[in-house]
Amino acid sequence: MSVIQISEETAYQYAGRIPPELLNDLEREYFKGLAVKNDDTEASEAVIIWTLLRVDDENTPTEAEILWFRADDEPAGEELFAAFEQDIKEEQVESVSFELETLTAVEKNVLKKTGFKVAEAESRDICVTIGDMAALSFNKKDKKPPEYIMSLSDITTSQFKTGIMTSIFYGRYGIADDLPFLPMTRYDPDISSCVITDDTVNGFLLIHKTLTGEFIVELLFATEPDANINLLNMMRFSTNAAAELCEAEDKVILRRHNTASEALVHKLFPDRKGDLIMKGEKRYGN
Amino acid sequence: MEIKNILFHLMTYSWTGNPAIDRFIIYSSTVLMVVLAAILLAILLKDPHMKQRKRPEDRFMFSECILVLLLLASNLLMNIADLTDAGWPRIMYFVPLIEEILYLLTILQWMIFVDYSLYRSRDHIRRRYKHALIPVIVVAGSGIAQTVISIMTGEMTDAMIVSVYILEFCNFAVELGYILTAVILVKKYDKQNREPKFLRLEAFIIPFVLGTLFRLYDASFMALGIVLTYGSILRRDRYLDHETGFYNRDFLEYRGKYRDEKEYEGGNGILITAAGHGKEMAELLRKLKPAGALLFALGGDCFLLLSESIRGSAVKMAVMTITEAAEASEAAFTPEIRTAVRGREETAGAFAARLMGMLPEQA
Repeated sequence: MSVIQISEETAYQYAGRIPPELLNDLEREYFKGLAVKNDDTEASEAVIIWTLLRVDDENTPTEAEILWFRADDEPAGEELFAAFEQDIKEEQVESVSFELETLTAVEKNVLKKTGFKVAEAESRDICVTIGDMAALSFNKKDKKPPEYIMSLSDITTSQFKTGIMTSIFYGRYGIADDLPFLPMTRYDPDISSCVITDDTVNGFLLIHKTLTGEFIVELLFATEPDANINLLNMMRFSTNAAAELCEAEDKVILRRHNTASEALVHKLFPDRKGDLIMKGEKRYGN
Repeated sequence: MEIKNILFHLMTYSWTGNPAIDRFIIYSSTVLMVVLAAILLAILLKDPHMKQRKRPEDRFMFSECILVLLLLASNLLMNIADLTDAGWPRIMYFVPLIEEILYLLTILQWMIFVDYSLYRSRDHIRRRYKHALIPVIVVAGSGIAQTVISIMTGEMTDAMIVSVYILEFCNFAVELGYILTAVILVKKYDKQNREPKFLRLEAFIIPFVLGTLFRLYDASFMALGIVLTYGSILRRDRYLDHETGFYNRDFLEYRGKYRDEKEYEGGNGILITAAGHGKEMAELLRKLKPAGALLFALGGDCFLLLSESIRGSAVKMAVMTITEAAEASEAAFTPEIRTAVRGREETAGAFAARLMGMLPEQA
């Protein structure tokens, strides 16, 4: 067995084992992948994709999140994790977590043997439809959003970059730690929206459409003054745009990645729960 | 008893009945109004910013000075009428109403000025205050109706007296509403921002309170409030580079002391040197500056972008964006950029000094 780094160039070889969205994500900063290959058959027996979090933040420890893990058998899985732990040691990662839809018995055993606590839990992601969003009380159809709320297609790349700089200077990265490196083209240009004040962007609602057709809210941010009003206006704008351009059944993923997003999602959909997934974590270092 | 009576009359625009005290009140309020009018005229005529009125704060202050000068002029007119015992022509019945409207407009304008000085956003002011004149229009309309009715009927019935008091109460409620709004705006701003402020609300509010208590001096106290508020513009102007409008070196030092007093930690600096392209770089930085960061012009085509603690990727993005914008501009130049992070044990003052030490020699 040999352990191979999955790079952007070699990612296509794993198209059968890794979801297309994650294969695409390997092009992103902080995203990495490893595979264990059978030396004889050249088939991959285990794969792992992970992302580093808060690598560049001196005030918080570096973390990693496993986004995908598959192992055909325990030896392959253990070899994979040995290489994985070597890699994260070099990055001075202090904790690793995961939230995975399913795990086979083999995969669960590998994780437990590696020292992870594994348990079933509610996902941080809430899945709703565009129809659900359109039906929310804040979305009054007769109320037009103000003219200073625009879609991404109405702003320049320079304005987009300045807006992203504002967001990250406020410490707001949304769900993407590599937000500064993501291009404007990542986001749906008609459904994503922004606030323009004094010719500059001071608020964003960035929505990414995955390869499987789901929409995921990646950043919701606005600066003062009138931050809360602008957040509401952007949500109204984007929901109306989505209702016009997409099907009512199209899925929208709302990730509860921090207390603010948790509170907002709870306010919008108090009765919704996340699906049951397998969750785990392990601490390293001190 | 005598003093209580005098104070009561002072608070209710009425004369005490004591000729000596009443004469003193008229003369002293006249002198005060003349002196403050002279100061306001000096501000309008001598301050170069007031003459050019390029900046929004200069335009605010200009219109405040004009409003208050009109208020002082109408008060002086009333005082002269009282002093000379001239009969009141019917048009004079509108003077108190005009004064009330000027008073309201001055306080409204001041509240808007407070909001502008916190966020420095013209669009925000236009959006938030597009309906701000409605209370003034309602008060003015009611006052005009009341005054016309009393002139036409030639008498003040009990109902009319009650309506006068109700209108007075509504005026005061609107004025107080504006003052409280300004206080709430500043409190909200202070919760989220850790940069020094130059505006002092008390410079306006204390004279406003005194003017409310001593009604026969209300125009003078309003003028005093505006003069003291003008002081906050002058205080901030000391720390601005007049060519670019960015902060200057003095503010870097002042900010360092302020943050040390408040024990605020953290800080990142991005030093940009654009030798020979200072003007172009300033223009680019004005467009690229992220909200919440501060821009300094340090001389010799050197600039500083200062922020609270930000992550490495934010610094990287800022450096990349500034460089790309400079290289893609008409002047097509590559600025020299250096970055610095404030150490955990380093004071803000020492960090500011270190940043200054990083400047090239010609700066």
